[in-house]
Amino acid sequence: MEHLTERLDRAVDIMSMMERKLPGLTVPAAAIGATEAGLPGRFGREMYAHWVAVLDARAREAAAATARLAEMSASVRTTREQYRTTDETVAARLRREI
Amino acid sequence: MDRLEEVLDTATPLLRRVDEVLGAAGAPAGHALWAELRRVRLLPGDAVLAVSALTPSALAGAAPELRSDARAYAEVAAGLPAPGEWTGDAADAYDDLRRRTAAHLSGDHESLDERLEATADLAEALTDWMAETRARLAATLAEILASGDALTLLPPTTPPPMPQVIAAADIAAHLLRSIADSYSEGTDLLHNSTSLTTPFAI
Repeated sequence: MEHLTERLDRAVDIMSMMERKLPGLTVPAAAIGATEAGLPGRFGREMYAHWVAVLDARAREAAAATARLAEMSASVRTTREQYRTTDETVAARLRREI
Repeated sequence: MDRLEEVLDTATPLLRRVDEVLGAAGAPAGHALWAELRRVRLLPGDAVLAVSALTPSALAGAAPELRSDARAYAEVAAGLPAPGEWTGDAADAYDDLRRRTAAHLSGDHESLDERLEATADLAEALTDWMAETRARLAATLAEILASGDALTLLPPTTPPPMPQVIAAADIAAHLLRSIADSYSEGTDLLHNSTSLTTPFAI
């Protein structure tokens, strides 16, 4: 089961990296006219807010997936430890009885 | 340098003159310019400068990045390990969750990689819209520069005679209509992608 947690942890690392890098895809407000007046400025501000919200939604999705993968890894790790503890307990009891 | 930058230097004195005439004499009552002014809320000179601030290259790198991320999601999904030699109820529960998580990360329907692809499509559409808006404005300016209305505005006369007032209003209406129509298409792009602003629940 060791290899399972290793691979799940690698998946967690990749997804965490995605989550962190998504906000970096925003654009400067001035590049889409958000600092201008009139219709172009109003649209630029809407487009800026829209794009930031879209990237934020993708980052949240990545964060949720990362959390699920981390929980899976933790569960497998816990199960492995419980198996090991059970093995050791039973082995000790059997040795005492012999 | 794109077509808008090329034509802007030549068009600036004419736009300045149009703004001067409209500032001094207004536009005839009932002229189409009034409706376009209500849409754009800027005089032609400022409206053209506002459009020229659009920088398509600022967003151009987003789509390839997002598509690369989508591929990474698919690889993560494909790489989620099966239980292998681990058997029993816990292993079965793990495998079930693994399969569902993989499908959530990458698949044909409402998966995270599909959402990234759709976001990349939006980035491309917005980048294209900025480039097309600049190109359309450049074409409109070129048309105006070659028009009879542009000639009518010469020589600059104060106060402007009625033919110059009408020519300025016609030029402004044509220009602002072109700009307003472009922004209307941009607004459609935003409205049609509203679903992408909400995270897809796991």
